[in-house]
Amino acid sequence: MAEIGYAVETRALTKRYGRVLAVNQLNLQVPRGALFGFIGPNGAGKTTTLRMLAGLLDATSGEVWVAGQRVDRDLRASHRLIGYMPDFFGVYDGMLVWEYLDFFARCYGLPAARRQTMVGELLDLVNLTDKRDANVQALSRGMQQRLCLAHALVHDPQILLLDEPASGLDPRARIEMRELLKELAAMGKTILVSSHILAELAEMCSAVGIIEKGALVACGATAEIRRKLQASRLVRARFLADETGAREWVRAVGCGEPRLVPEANQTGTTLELEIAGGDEATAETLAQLIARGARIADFREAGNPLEDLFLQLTEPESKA
Amino acid sequence: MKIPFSTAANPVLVKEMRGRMRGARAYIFLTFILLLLGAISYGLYRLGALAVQSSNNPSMIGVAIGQTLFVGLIYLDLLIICTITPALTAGAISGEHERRTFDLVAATPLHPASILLGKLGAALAYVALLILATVPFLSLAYLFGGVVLIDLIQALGLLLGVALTLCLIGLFFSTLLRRTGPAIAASYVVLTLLVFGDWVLYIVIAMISRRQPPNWILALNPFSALASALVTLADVAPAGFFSSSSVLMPLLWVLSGGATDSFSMANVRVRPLWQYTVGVYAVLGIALYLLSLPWLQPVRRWRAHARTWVIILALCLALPMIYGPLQPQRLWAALRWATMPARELLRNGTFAAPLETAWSAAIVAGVRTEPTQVNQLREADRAFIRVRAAGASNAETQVAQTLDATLPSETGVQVRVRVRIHKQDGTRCGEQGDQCPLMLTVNFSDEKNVKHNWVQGFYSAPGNGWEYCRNCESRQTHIRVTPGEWYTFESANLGDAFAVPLAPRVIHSLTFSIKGRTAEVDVAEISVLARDGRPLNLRDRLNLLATPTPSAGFFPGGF
Repeated sequence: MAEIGYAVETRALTKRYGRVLAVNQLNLQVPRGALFGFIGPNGAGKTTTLRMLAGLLDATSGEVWVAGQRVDRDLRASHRLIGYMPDFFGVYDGMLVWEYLDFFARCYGLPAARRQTMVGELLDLVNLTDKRDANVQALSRGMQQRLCLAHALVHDPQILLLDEPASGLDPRARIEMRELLKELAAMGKTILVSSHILAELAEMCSAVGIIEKGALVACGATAEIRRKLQASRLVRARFLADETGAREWVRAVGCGEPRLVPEANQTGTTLELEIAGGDEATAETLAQLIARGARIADFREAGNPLEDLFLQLTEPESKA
Repeated sequence: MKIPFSTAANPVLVKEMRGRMRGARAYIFLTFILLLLGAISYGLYRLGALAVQSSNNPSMIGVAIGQTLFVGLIYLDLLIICTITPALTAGAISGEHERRTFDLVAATPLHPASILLGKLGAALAYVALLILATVPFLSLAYLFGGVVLIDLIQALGLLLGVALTLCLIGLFFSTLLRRTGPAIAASYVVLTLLVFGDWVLYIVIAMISRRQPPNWILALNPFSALASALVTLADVAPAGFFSSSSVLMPLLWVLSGGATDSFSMANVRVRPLWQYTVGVYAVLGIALYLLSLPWLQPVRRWRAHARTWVIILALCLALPMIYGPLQPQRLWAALRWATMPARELLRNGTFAAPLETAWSAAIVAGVRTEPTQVNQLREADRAFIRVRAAGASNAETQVAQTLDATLPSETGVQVRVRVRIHKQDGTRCGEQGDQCPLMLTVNFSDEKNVKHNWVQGFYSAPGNGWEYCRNCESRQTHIRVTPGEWYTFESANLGDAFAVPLAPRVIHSLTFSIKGRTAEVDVAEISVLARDGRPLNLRDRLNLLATPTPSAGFFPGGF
């Protein structure tokens, strides 16, 4: 079966809330062992999708396959395969850290002996060993976040669904969380992590899916998407000339119609040009421009390529 | 589907118990309850002692104190349960939603039933702890006497049952509404309906039907159910504090929906209310539990929902099978009643043979101013007897036949007769409704060998004073016939005409009495039929708002 190859797969997954289409015909494919970044702006349908993947929400139509089986066919079996960490979560009153993990271990039906060792191991993993007997409510936001991640690991699932695990964390806690995810990925788990901040995920994810208004706009390995980007690179150049002159230079080197970038407090004209090809082509274009007498004060790549792709894909109206 | 029970402790129960019993709150509350119970116990003790002092019966001091303590504490327990139980569970599921912890639990393979049972168990354990706290004080009542162990077990069992149902009501709304505030409000609204709404319904039915409704109408009311379990205290000490002559006993009796026969002024013993309550609460509890389950499933299963409704419907049908008119043996009896041939018990009911062969006629009361004439006549092909009487107001002429027929158990009896009234003086069947121109009486013994009279009156004059015989045990509506015309009467099953249906075992005699100053009455084709089985009488049992058929009532003559 083809779906065996994917840890998580959705087929034409659709969720409708009355008239609002939260998720529209989503075909998501997460390979086994991948650290998959699920990226999209707030309200794009990330949480809705993750809840459907975790078997917490009925799909209006479409299918969810996890590790080769349909989630809605055997919910409880699916729950054993998945560790889920929601974006917002609460903690129980008057509960100790070890009791919190113990409770979820009991929910998964773990025997007492394994619960004991598992609680210690997990607290070690998420670096909360010294908080073992602390009240859950007394933990900082970052610690609670880590504890919640630990709760998703009590049954040693193959697949982790993490909804904005780094939201609300300070930079240091963010880095810790990132390291933790890398560690888990190294353990061979498939991790699907969502975020509305691309930078957080771009460098550590092996694959990404970008969602906008409930629809998947791009999905694939990060390197592949990078390559796609390098096939056509966006460069910002400041010419010491008026707009007409600057555009002539650009047209002369065959870079199509550039976009004017209005810049205050700068002399000359700043244009954004799209260059087909990778680093070689970029260097060649610059050399040609100079050879044609273009006076260039500044020439640089316009931002992070993934970030650009993200902006380009998710906010088309701002470009228009 | 896997059965949610396992040898391992329920995770939710463990979690809830850890949370609830942690900190000072639980201990402070328990201490407060114990102090309150102590103070109230002392108050009840003084009250009981005081009441006996005024009654000049020193031998009853212990019983009075014991029973006062017992009834007071049990009702206090019920009050505490009604006050706190819905609040205990109304936040159970909604709290998880509000604290955003529900998804965490829902994403585990934990069965919804485990969640529900865990929450239920934790709340019930807390209530049980409170009930347990009163047991030492209740044992004090036991020490004083007037209370037997079965009373204690019955009362505590009922309290626990009520607590369980209230817990499930709270859980149901907590699951359904997902917000604690509305869930608490809805739970208390339902509780109010159970306690007060049921009584309003009872009174409305009583006012419309102008008779006392059956006690099972009050089955939803926990206070009434408890009263019905406590009225048996009068049996423990018949002359005691809670005897029917005291103030509290009739209060409990009325609360329990018990009927008092206005004829004998004795309390009519029917199936105690709490037995209905146990059944109704069990069905209610199971229904609420089953209805809550699908709402706990993160991904809804409407198929499960449909199955739930089928089960609930079946349970609702089971109730009349257990208690009511649809009991299997009742249905079987009804089938036999409808199909088996009847057996005639009377001799010479057609008056074909001379009257003297089976019948006797006599003037039994009053003074007849002219000789009573009992004539055997023939009209077309029908033989009949004509009784002409004239006398003082309470004169009575009787024509009777002694039967002394013993019937097998579960045999119904029906009376058939043709009557014709020619003359009737006066416009009423006597002050008590027992002086109709023609009164038909069947004297029989029930299974306990107690004699009863079934009485049916016939009259012809308009403007009759009483629609039924007020001082008769059976309350058959009198029948008005057109003067000078034959009227064919066929009775229902004789035993069903009594406040508590009776089963005739020996039919002693059939009598028709001609009463009043002047009367001329014809009687023909009379028969007493014994039939195997018993009719269902669904209409009588279920049609609460039917035209008033007089029966033994707590409100004599209606409202």
